[in-house]
Amino acid sequence: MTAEVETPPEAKARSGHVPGEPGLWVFLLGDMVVFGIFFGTISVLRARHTEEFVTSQQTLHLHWGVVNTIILLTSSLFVVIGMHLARARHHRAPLFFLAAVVCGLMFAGVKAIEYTSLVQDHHTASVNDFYTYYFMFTGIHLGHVVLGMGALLVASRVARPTSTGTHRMAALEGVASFWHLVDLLWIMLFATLYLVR
Amino acid sequence: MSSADLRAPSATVQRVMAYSALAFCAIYGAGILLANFIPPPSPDDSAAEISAFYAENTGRIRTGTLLMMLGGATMIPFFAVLTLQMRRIRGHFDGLCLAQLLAGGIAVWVFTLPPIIFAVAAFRPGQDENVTQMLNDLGWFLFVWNLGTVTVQAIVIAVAIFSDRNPEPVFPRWVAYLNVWVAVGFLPGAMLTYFKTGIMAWDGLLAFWLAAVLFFSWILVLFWATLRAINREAVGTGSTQPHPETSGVPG
Amino acid sequence: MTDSAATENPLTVAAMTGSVLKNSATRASAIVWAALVIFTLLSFVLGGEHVVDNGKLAAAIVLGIGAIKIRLVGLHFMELRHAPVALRAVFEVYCVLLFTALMGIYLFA
Repeated sequence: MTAEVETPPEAKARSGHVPGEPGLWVFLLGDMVVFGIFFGTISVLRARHTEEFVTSQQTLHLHWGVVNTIILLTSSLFVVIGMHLARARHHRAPLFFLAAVVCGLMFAGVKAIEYTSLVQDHHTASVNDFYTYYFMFTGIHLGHVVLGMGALLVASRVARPTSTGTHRMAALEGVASFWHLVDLLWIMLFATLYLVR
Repeated sequence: MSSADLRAPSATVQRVMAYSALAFCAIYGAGILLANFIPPPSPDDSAAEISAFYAENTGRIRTGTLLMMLGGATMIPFFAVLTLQMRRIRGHFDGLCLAQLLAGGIAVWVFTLPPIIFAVAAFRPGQDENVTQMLNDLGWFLFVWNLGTVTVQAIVIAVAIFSDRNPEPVFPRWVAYLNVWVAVGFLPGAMLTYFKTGIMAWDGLLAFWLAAVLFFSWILVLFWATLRAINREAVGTGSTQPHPETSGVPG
Repeated sequence: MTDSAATENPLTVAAMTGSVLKNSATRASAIVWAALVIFTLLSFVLGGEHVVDNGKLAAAIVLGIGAIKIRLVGLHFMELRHAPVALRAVFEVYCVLLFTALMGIYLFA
């Protein structure tokens, strides 16, 4: 009977570890491509109707946009810490996933404030293409945020130190990757909608 | 697999049924192109412009839609064999398989009805322009605003694949993720009812082009995955071919 | 509880391991987070507040910072640094393509 040979860390690093599972990345990369089309569409609109674009862009709440970006970045940090703790079966792991959910709620709240303010000023989705894209794309992104929050709630249960299951870490990694995707997509959405003029 | 279960057709028959998906892509695709529907006429066009489009393309539209109408039906055997392979995931013909079959059957009608409407629009050149425009509107809405059943079908397939507990999964898990992506990607098309121009209109980047790319990718991946599942079943222990020990060996 | 009993309790071990982890790995992630926040504020100041006069330069800065931030999130938060080369490569190519395409549209469309 031969002794079990452990894969040396260097070899492990070479072959690599797919966060979650390979199939998930079909979806994540696919989503990145679709949102890439969104970013391109926004940019084309800016190039073709620059004046209308910039005028409409200036009615957006840039400061809220910055706040939301930082909220999502922070939520991603919480998820990363939660993952570290979950790997060690630390009892505080679920807390960090829940903290990320709270960030998600804050993000949604800010968007609600922005949407309400815009609509009250008669800048609705049907006024021009800029507002159509703004509401459509941030709306689809917000849908992702809501889905992500649901997934994070489930993850907070799976992250408990006593939870079992052969795919515990893979499931957590999958949820974490999806949440980081939500963060990542907002980064460029914010840049193309709010900042590039 | 229980013996009380329905007897599956042979692997060869199943393969033929699977290949009908390629026949669909070829026939239906050829029909769309022939009818000059790529790119689609704009929802922003006037009744006069639409009538002119039908008048200038009458022959092409009539033959193209004929191909589309026939091509749609070729998906019947494909969705049937897809359901048969899905049954192997579940072990028996259960609710998910029924849902898939139901959605597939409706999808065939989703493919087949729009070309019939377009053909009617092209049937009487010289009719009232507004009538032609409305029939054209109806056709395009049926053709593009049908994401409800297709999205649900993709989700059903994804759920079934995710539920696979067999030692060797019937379908690779990434196919499930692709179905999720496709289902999500179809959703923006729901907005086309609010728009006559732009990316959300029925000829727009999201509602039409993205949906078209996703749709055909989806069919091709499902075709590949189903064929693969059929082939693996044929060589595996759950074989539909005669068991070697009983295939006429003496003794 | 005696020392040996404490170290035998798996949850205590985990908690101790956790606090070790919490210090090094978390510190690295916090540094990345801080960088991301700084980049965000930088692009806000440079791009949004008209500090940079040249529109093209401002756009390049904003889009460039955006691409850098996306890469940081992917490589560090999503842990693609430890992923198979193929997956990581696809992601890196995405970041480059995204920046190139958006910058190209800004300049030439």
